Amino acid sequence: MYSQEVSDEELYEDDNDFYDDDSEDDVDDELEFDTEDDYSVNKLNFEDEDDEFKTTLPPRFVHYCYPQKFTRGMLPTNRMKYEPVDYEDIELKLKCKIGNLNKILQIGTDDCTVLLIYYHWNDQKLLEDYTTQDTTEVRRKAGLSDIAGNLETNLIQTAKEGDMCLICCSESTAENPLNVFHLQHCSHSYCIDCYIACVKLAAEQGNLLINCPEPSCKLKIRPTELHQIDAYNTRILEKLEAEKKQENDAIRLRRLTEDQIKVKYQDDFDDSLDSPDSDDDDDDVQKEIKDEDLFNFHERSLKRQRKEKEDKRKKSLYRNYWYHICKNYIMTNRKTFKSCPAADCESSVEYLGFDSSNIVSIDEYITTYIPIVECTNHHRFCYYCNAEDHAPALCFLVKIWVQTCKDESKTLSWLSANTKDCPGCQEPIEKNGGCNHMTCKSCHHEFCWVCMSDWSRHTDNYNCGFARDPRISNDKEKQEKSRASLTKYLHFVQMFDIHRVSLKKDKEFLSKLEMRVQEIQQKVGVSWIEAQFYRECIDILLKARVTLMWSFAFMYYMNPKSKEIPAVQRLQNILSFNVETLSKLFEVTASEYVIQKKSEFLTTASSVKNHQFNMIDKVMELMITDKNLLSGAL
Amino acid sequence: MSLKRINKELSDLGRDPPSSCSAGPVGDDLYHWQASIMGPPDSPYAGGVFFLSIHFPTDYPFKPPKISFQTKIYHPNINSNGNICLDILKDQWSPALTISKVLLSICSLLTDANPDDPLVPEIAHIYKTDRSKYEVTAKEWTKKFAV
Repeated sequence: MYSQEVSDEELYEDDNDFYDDDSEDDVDDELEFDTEDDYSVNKLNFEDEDDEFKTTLPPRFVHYCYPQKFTRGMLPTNRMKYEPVDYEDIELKLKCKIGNLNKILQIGTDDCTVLLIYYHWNDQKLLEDYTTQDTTEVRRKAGLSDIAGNLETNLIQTAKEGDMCLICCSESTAENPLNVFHLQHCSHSYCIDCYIACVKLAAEQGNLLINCPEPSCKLKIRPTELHQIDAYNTRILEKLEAEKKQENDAIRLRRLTEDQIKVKYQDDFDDSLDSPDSDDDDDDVQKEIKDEDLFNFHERSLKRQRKEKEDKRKKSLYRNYWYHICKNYIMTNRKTFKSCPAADCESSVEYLGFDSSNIVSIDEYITTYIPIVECTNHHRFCYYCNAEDHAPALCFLVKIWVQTCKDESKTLSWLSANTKDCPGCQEPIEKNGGCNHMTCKSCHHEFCWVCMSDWSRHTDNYNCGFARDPRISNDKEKQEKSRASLTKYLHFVQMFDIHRVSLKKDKEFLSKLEMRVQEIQQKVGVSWIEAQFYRECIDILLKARVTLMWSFAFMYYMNPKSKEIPAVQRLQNILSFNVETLSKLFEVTASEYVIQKKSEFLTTASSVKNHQFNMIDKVMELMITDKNLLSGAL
Repeated sequence: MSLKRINKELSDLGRDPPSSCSAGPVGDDLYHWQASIMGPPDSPYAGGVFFLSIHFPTDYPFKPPKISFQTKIYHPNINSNGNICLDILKDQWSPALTISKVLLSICSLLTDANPDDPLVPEIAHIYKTDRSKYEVTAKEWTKKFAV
């Protein structure tokens, strides 16, 4: 909600990549590179590594939970500072830590990596231990040998004839020599396939430090050693792929004998028998993508990027290694990192403290502010409660509101329509039979359903002719009051729900529109940047809908005596009006005219944005100034 | 691959059997073995013969074999179903370990129980507080079930 301009630009750059198909080319390039350096892995890796472990980090992009330092009424907003980060950023950061440590200790980045992982990236403690305690002991505990320094030899060798891998029990023969691998400082060799399997298994189990398979050996695999295994693995994978391709080509070129044709035909026939199944599968896949509620191109491109990264990880043991390191780092530093709650989003947010020295911890901040943050993929969520954007409702309001809605909304409306409250204990009572003689299950009060007075007045007579008992008028007042609060609740629930549904409908409609405009843009030849505005407008509209929706939850809990209610209502009405105008504009504009109506869209959207901000700003001021503002929630 | 390895282990066991243990396939299925362990002489299990069943997963040796006691035994790290709480059978498993090494580890677990990481807390409690009572019960169970 309170994103900075910088991030908006980034959004479009990201999308650009997607449309230019640059990303794909990049991948290809890198793959080519990998194949080239196959046989000179070691050397290249060292060069890589010098670049890999930089000692200075790029400057931080500090984001704020709130765009302004002060509200319109000049109250300090004490905003929270944060930086959206993804795994690449974390990797860079950790590698920088490694680089810096190596600068001090001069033991090679390999050893530094293992030590830092062992010390959970606490470089201060590590430095202290390494310099004050017995160095060999510290190294041994972390799973390092006594000899410091990076790897400089090739550890993949061909085994002598007759040697056997102790894991798979394959023997090295003259025709089929076994490639074996061992860690630099131990002599426990196993065939490289088994080594690869071990590494994969360890990664699967989430072990960051991977042991030498020999149980008595405590050494861990170091990054460059992993690099060597990985390079071999990629080479094998590529070889297999190439072989398969060659085989397929050969089969295609070969002339088939009659028998083979028969076999092939038979196979095809079998396939066709199976085909209903496979067709179903295809449908399922398509359905899955459709159902997945991927709102816009941005989300779709994110999904693609995620898939690409995943594929890369599957191919590369080393990438997978770092992936797990970063994941673990975020998980173990929960105080400063929050993972984005959006489905499948792997981005997170790093907490950087507050704008003001008045606030020490986020817990004290949470009673007046809503720390809405945005991850690198532009998902907005609350840093404190991990829910989706819920400004202007405070976290605790959201919690009770959601709970109430879940528990009660349907029940309460039914109650309101079908029950009366017991005059004795105010429990709601449903009439379950024809008789008007009611006995309350909770307080055993007996009364008449018609006049609500004591049943004792109705002796021997089922026909109630009494006027309502004056004695219960007092209770009735109470009853009416509770009915009134119920009505109030129902009103806000309905309003909230109306906007929730509108938000959903808008999303559906706009995602279709986006696709159409996309087509038109390509047909007419409008540049990407020029057509960006409607995307921006969509974004503004949806953000405003969220604000509007939650403003009703906020209103429900507002102190009914507060003088500010009409003001908030007014803001709500204006915002609502503007949102509807923009929504309508999207709806009535035929997609081919969207681009022509640019200025109209932009003015309407900026007005929505303004009013949305007014709403948030007003609520924020109220929360700071009025301590009793939310008495309705307590 | 796993078959090759299991065959190799089987022939190694035949050629150079470890003292006080033996193991081999139950029937034609090489993935299902039975093993026996003689109660170590310096333990309350002395004189007993304990049978264990071994199931090899298909991805053996990358995944640990499933080993359980078939003979009832009174031990803090072995429960009434015969399940064994031993680190090398779980997260500390390494593909370089073999059945014979695992059986030896189980033997040493019989001599030195690990009451700080118990599978049966009641037995572990007795083991720690009243060692002689533990030994008496263990001996009784051995006599009753394993001789």
